[in-house]
Amino acid sequence: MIEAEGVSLRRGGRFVVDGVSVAVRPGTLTAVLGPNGAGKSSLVRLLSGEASPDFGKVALDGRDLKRWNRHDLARRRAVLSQSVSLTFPLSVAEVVMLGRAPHRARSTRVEDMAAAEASLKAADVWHLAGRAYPTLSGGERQRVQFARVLAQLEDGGQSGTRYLILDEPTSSLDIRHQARLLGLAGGLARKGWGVLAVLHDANLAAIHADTVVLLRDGRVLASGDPWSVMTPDSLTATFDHPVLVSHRDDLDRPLITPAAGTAG
Amino acid sequence: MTSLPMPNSAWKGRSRHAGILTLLSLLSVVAVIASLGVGASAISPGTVLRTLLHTADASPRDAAIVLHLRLPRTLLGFGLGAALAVSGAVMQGLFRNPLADPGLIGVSAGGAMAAVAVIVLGVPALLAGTVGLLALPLAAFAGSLCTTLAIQRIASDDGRTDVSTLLLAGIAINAIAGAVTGFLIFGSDDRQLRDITFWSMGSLGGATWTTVLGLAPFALGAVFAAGRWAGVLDALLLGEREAGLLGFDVEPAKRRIVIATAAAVGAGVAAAGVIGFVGLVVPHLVRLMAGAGHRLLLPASALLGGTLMLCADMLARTVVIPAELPIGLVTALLGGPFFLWLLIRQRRSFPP
Repeated sequence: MIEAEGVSLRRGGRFVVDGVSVAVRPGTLTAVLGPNGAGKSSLVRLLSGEASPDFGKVALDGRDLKRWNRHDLARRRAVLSQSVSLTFPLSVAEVVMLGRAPHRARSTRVEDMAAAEASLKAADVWHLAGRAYPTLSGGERQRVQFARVLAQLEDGGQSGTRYLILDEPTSSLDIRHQARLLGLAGGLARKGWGVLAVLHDANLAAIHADTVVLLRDGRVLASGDPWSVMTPDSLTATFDHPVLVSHRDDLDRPLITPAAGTAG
Repeated sequence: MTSLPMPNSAWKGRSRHAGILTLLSLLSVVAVIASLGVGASAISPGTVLRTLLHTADASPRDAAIVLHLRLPRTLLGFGLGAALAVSGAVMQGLFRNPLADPGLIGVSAGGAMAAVAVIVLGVPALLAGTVGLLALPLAAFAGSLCTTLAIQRIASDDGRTDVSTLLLAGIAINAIAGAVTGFLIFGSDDRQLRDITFWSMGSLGGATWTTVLGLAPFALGAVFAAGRWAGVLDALLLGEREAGLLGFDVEPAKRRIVIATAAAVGAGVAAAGVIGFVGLVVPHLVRLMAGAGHRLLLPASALLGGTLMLCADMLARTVVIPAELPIGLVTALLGGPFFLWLLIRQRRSFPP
């Protein structure tokens, strides 16, 4: 479990994350929802160990993130960032092989290639493997980066829970690939991985998440299973915009509809 | 090769890497032998080889030209080309910018400024003997290193180096160094002016075994150290954040890379003056051939950089026999238009 206890992060004289406690539990897909500037990406940086909290602490499997060896940590948790651009023409296969960097000391090249191949296929970009990354569309790039973080965590014999942190993983994807990526993330969670995804689409969160966290102004407004958290009142308060919640008969999940825009 | 079914040529095979390196090594050997033979007094490749292998029948005059004049010059040229090309490749990877070059962050300009100061202020005349001879190279080296450290200090905040600040600081330092050099030139006499001009256009003409030995540790050090950094440089292509998430300790790696590059370029400036475009053009050529992965890019750049530097030097030596052109003129004249062509081509295939 990645557990943040009362973490705060100060940037430019104000707290962008303010006393937040969240957990990324093995076997669970947690979705984080919140308006722009709510501190979602800062929370990702704290949970991944990129930033150290000014107050509170973050631990992975009981050990403070600061005390993890960086290679060990890189084999246990991976982060899909919002967008990754490349100036030089690495091929898609080479980009995904970069995900194997933390394993290089202990795995063979054939094992690395097998892991990369499996990840490319899982992310539905196997057919792009020979293409130059800078020539891909935004959505294709996002899927290739997803393949790279999958390859980073792929590790046949090693023990220990894997944690996957996704920062707006579906922002450039079409409907089919949105469903496919989050379906895959959910499948990994059921396999025992801990998955946290920052999402903008409340309905994707409602469909795929086991736990939903509502974040606003750096604080947690509510957290729990979708039905208990995604109420009209809490969503309206989170987004500062009237939101309707109905019932999806096909999936027994909440269906979220924003009210029509208000002018002025 | 593996038995995995691979689409297209997704996995650049090891055999392809080996093929490219073999080809470039052969080209290097040909360039070295040609460089030993070409010049005001032409010597056949056969005689060059016999002289190198110490078999008897080369004339003492040819042997002297090959071993004492052309061999140090050739080794200096090859080492310098390799060091500049590898430094360029490393800087471009580090800054994620295909236009980055050791010259860009002010390393060459800082070295040039220090050397011009030594020429104009007449320091070599004050110091007798070996120390006097070494004053110019040492000043260029010290100037390069100081400039780099200053730029690093300006651009680093709390242990993190901001790459765009680094590049902008480089531009400012280049302007300052250029202005100071200009002022110093106003205060120089005719003989000094000729020295400055020749030196600032770059030349391998001053090559002796002393200059070769002065450059060797830096050139070899930079090339081999860069090879060890291939992994982190590859990861840095994704950005500093991604490299950190992949488990690389990015900040210390960046510091070491910048200092090693500065030392190599400074030593190069000291040995042969300012020779541009090698560090910019060679890595581009290699990427066109072999892709952007550093495991192949770095050794291939070293070989091709050395080879092209020798070709440029042969041109410089033969175009206006018995005089010779400054090699920096040749590299700029050939490299400049080529680089413009690359830019146009790149804008067409990968619009920003």
